[in-house]
Amino acid sequence: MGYSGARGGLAAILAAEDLVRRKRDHAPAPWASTEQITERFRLAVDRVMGEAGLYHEPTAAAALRQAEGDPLEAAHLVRAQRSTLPRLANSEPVDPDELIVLRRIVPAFREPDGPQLLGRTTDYTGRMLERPDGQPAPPDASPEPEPVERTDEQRQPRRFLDLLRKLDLVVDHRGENGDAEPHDITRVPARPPAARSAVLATMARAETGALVGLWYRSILGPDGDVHEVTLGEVRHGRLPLRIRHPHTGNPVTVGEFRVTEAEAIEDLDGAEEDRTKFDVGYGLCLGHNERKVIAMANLDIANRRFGRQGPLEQLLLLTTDGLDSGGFLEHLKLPHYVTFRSMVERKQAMRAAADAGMGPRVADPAGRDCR
Amino acid sequence: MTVTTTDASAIRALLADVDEARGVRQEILDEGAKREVRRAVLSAVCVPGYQVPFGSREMPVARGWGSGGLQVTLGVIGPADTVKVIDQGDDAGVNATNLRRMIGGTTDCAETTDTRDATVIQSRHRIPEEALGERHIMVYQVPVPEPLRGVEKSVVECGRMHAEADYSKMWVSLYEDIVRNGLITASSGYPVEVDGRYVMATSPVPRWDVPRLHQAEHLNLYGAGREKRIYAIPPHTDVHPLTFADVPFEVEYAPDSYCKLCGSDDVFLVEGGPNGGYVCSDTEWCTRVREGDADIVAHRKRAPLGQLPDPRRRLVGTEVEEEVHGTVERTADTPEWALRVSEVGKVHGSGGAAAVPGTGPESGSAVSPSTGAIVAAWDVDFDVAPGEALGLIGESGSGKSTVLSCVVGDVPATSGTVRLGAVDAGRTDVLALPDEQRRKLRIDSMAVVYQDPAAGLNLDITAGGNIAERLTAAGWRGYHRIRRRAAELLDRVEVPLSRMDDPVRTFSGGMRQRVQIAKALATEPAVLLLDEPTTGLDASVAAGVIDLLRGLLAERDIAAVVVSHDFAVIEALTDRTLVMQLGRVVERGLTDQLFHDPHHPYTQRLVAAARR
Amino acid sequence: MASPVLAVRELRKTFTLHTIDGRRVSSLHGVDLDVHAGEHVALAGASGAGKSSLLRCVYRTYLADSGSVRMTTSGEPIELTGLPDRAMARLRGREIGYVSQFLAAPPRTGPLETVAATARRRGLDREQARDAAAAALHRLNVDESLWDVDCGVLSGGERQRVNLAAGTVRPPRLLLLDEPVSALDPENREAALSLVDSLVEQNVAVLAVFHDAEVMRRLATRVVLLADGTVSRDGAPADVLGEAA
Repeated sequence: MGYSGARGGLAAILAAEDLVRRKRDHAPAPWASTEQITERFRLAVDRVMGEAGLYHEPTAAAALRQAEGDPLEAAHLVRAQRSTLPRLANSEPVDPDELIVLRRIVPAFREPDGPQLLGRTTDYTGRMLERPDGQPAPPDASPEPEPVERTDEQRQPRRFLDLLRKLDLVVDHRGENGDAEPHDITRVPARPPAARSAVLATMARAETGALVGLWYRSILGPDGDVHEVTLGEVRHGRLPLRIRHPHTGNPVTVGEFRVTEAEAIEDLDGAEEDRTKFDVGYGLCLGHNERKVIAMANLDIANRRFGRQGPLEQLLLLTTDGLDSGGFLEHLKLPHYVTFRSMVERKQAMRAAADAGMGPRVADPAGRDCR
Repeated sequence: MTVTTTDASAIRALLADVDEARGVRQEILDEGAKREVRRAVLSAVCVPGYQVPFGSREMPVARGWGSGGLQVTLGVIGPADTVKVIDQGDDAGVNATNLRRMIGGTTDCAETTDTRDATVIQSRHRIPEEALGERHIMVYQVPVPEPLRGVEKSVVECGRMHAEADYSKMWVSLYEDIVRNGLITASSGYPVEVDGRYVMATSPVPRWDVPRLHQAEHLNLYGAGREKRIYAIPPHTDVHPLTFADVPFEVEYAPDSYCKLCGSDDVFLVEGGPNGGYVCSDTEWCTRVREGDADIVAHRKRAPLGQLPDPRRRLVGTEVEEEVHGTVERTADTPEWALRVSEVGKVHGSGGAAAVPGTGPESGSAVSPSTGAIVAAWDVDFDVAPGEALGLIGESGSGKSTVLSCVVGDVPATSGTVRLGAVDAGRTDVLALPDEQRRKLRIDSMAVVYQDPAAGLNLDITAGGNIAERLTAAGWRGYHRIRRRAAELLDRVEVPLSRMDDPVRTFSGGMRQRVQIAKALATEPAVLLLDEPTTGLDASVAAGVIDLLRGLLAERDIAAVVVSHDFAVIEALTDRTLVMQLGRVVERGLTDQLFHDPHHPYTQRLVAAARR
Repeated sequence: MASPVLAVRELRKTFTLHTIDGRRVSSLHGVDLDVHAGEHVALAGASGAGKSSLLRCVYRTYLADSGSVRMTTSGEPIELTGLPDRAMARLRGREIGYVSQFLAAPPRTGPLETVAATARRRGLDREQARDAAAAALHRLNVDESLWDVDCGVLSGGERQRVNLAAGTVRPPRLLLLDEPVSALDPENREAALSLVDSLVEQNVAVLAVFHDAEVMRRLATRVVLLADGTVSRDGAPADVLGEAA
């Protein structure tokens, strides 16, 4: 027993937990330090921070270690940790134009304002397994390249969208819909119909795979909500974190954090749309996760255009959170024998009614004769 | 002023204060979050059955494993409390054990398995067999809080249905269930109407437990963590399982069943293992009955033995009187018209009224030269009196159907007013009414028959069910009375009663149209709008539908508007007619006059074409 | 003397045929005419003189260009040319019968239902209307076995009798007849004419077009002779027709 029926449930749980601890924490292998995880599994850590909605590399790394590398479980650990912490302050709004770029690509223009900066990427590296024997990389004999002095223009290039705006090629939605105060999805659940900020926040925290899947569904699936999208710009870089000083009330920079940002340009062709212009979708998430923000930018514009005509808004808001979908799926493992008994009883009642000649499709539908 | 130095010492000091305040015990929910939960609980108690959104936090258990119930329990529990946790009625299930450990380990409350000692009972799927009193708070773990999910997939639409107390889809699903299966097959989580207002999902507990919610002594709190909803049934609140007035609600029952451990036959029983038989789902009760520590006499009085399934009672319900709405009492200030449409216009695209100049029959185009917008209809005026039928004729694209859509509310009008004689004696512009009120008008004041039956019917439900939708929306709650009214209507539109319980999808086009007409007339509305009612039907079938409509209009004091491109339809059904071309009314008159003495070149062309 | 039930003054009607390059076809050039209660006024004249057009202008199947058509029901005279469509439709239903040589029955409807529908419009309830319709059909010798047969399959003579029954059931104040007996055999024709005559005795105002001068001489109180869209003579049948003969 132990599953549900008898006393002793607690012993079984404790035994299961003990088994996990032994195999995971005391395996005959070197301990994976937090530093190892943040430095060697940077993208996994970034993904966990993004999906957890909490920017703290050591916490995300510890969660990944405890979750044995399962990013969804790690995100759950980080968020549950977050639930135990008080809210001390709300950060001040940050202008993404302050982003100091570590990487920046503008596919839509050959020579944009500022650099096309590849930065740290394996986009152009052949996908070949480098060390199948598992040996560590040999020490690097070559000298570290001299850091290049960057101008302000190179550190904080003008975004491509500014140019499109100057050419009057973009529909301006800023200030529409009374969405000035961003919707905090951690305090007020976001459900359709929701403000754009709620949808953006939901996507920023969404499970990466779920969002990419939904994006691809919008390209190839039955709805077709994403059309001729051109990627305007994708950036990875650092932003300052500011809060108001609890005593002086002045904004104070208390740290910085890395984000990935994308802007997608959509051709407008609808009957009620300004077909002489483009529209722009926006994506941003914590850490370095280009796949996620590109999907997000595309889905942002698709949601503005078609979110309420079809299922997209509801899909984005209610089905992309990894903890929600994963948790509901996991709960199927819980006992359901009370509800199942109730279902079995109705099946038996239907049969009993049929046997008694009082089943469905009684000959006289209205309980009396109708000609 | 922005200070750009990195100076977080004050923040660190603040953090240290908080750490100290929290003390040494491991917390799983911070105090601020608990306060939020309590606020949501208070709102939920104030509006029984209403799902209050709350900023559900991530718990150390997966969403779906009681994260909502856990937050509610942590929010309401204090040092003076004693908690009991059950899953399936069992204190020892892994989920119950795990949650009890977590609650006990992070609060100062006591733990128990004895319902009599408990003050807070967190449960999944059951209510204890023991009596509950005012000292008890039941906290339910809710996986799916939305009772309408089964009948409506859009959460926006579900929200609207709750806001407007528009539960007709729910009633239709019960109706269809009885028609198809001979009984209501909803098993656990049976929907209930709380305090005469909100329809609520019962968490899910078995039907056996549902009567315990009505006028209960205890407080019921429901927490749905994943869906971020809290709702409540306060003590002494009316809770009625949704069922027709003449179809009894039924709890679970198996003949000759009893617990093979304690012998009880008046408890909720679950399967007793591979050797058959049944056992109590409530392990505490079972143990205490065996030990002689249970008041089984009082329990038997509580048990829902009067609601055991009885096939004979299902289909011979008592009579319920229902009102057919419709005929409006006319007073001195009631206008002579039932529907008045004034200066209605619809512009697709930008510009609104500014897009209109340069469009219309004189310009030969509906496309605005200034904005590129399409002026589908402009400056359309007419009224219709009870007992009168008005035609709107024109080629496709002339705007006649657009006008009808604006009147109905399917399309927002760009300009103009629409008044109904039955609404505020015609003083109110119904275009200006909130959507909710306009939808209500569609239930009993104004009905539409669309060209496409799929627009006016749900093809997947039966002919009777489609009519039941309109009747239940109008408040009908007697299953047999609804059946009889549906049968009368179907008989009148010559749909064989043998087809009443078939899904409309299996019907021919003409038959579907007849069902749509029957549904439109179900509540005897004062205004009937017919949009190309016979277009798309074979000629002989169309003729039959026209004859039917003519008969129906003649025998009713209804005001009808008939939109058609076909002069034969207009001639057969209407007294007066408007001719539309490129969004404008170009001519109007008595229908026979327009046919025999048309003045406008466009009308003369239409007539010439009809004579051919 | 009481005011006439129908008073037509200076009535003009021209058709503009837009489908044939806007050609104009003139029909009435200023017609003046009175019909009193209990009076049977017959319209005479050559084919194309405007007899049917005049009846249709009175009934508003044609819209007159100018002039006036006044009808007195109870109280003040009503100007029909400018009457709103709805009021005209109601007036038609309650006060004016119009019987043409063509059957105006809705398709796929039997004689009894067709006639009863008219009776209901003139204020009878469902049962009274059926009884009145049955009586009217009997009087015009429409065989009872045909009463629920689609009017579309009736012979020309049968249709004309159904038409007459509908126009005269629950007698209207004003009856407009446009060759109502042209397709009838002598026996039925006699029944129809005696019906018309009895209505006049019941004080109905009748304005009629009969092909047959004999009928006019027998039935009409007055004969109005139309020529080229105007009234050329108006007087006793013997005076007007005698001269024409």
